[in-house]
Amino acid sequence: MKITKIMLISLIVFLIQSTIVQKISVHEIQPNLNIIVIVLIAIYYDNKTILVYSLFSGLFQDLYTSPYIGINIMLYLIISIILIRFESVFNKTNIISPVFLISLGTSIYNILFFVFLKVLNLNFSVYRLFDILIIELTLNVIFGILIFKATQSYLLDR
Amino acid sequence: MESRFRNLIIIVSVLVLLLSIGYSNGGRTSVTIVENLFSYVVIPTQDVLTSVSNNVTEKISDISRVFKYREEIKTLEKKNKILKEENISLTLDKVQIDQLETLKKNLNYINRNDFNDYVTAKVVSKDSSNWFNMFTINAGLNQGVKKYSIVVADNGLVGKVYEIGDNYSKVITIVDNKSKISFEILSLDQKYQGYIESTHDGLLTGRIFEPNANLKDGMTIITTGQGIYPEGLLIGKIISVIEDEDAFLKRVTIEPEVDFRYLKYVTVITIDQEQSEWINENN
Repeated sequence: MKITKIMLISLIVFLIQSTIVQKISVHEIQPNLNIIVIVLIAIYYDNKTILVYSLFSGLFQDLYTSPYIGINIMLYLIISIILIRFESVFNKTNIISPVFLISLGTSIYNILFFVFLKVLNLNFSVYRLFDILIIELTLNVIFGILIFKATQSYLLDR
Repeated sequence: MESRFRNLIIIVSVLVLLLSIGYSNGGRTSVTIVENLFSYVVIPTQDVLTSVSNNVTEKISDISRVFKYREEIKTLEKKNKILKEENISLTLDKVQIDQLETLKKNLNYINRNDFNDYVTAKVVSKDSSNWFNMFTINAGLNQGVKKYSIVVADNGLVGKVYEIGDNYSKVITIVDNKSKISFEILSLDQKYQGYIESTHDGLLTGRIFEPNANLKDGMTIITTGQGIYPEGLLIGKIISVIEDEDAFLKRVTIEPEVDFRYLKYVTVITIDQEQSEWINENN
């Protein structure tokens, strides 16, 4: 995929995530569309596309909504590198693949985020991590399945 | 050779990103030209998308509320009766206020108001990570907002401006763990002070310095004037008092005055550049 196209997709996903998705929160915890899209790209596209998408999606999130510049870029890139390692087990038609990868991506993102915040000496309890993990993981899997089902035929035919 | 080169790129990227995280810790006083240029596309688009999603959410909640309307009408009728009675007594008071206004003019009294300069802004987006309580507003340097400007809404304290662009600002709320606030309890008898220790589920936990403080649920919490927040800004009210015998201090759970979930508009109390720089140096 061309870099401009990847950049445009990451910008659109960021705009939807920071505005519309905020309204679909449970206990003020919302799903993370970027992790879902990273998994879909990892299943259907090449390694370069997934890394470039992670870079841009993290960049937009860091620049316009996050207190730290670089934290989301780093976490999305780490998730992408781990997903690339799992490439051999991807199945483009089986729903188990995206469910497993979204769960893995969400867990890595939030556990590493928690570790970063502890390193930065911020007072976050481990209960907060469990809350976020359980709710965000559930929401991500539900939305992931819906998006996967909606885009599957298009992505397989392309 | 290729894998060595790849590893080198990974190490350099990690180092650059860690430096960037460290550099941006505490918020930047100005953003880059590229960020500002992009913000002219990003912020208005977010503004439109937020307005549309707010309208849709309101419509959905309106539909779900239809069944409650009958009871609400009855309650409103009762309230209306009480308000009519109050209106009569207030009209009588207004006559007295008018008389005092005339007296004030005659005495050349100058009205003191600490918050003469303010900007009303719209909340256009929120942090997506679930870890921070931050949001972005559609007002920045061009509208007179500075870093550390105070943000309020519904008469309550919302937070402060954390980072600023030409036409947008990132606001960090008081329910974010990065916020540090000292507070006092509004009481006629005693002046109890404390500080916000942590936040969880949209509630604040505060420690009171006085071990024998006589605290009750419903007491009002305001800012002390220490730190960047001016004195007397409403933070919220106590919803529970926790005795901590080990620490010899009392802890209180505070419900913020502002409901951050439904925040659409905020008021930014602007400060001058010198004040902003002074706070930045001393923070």
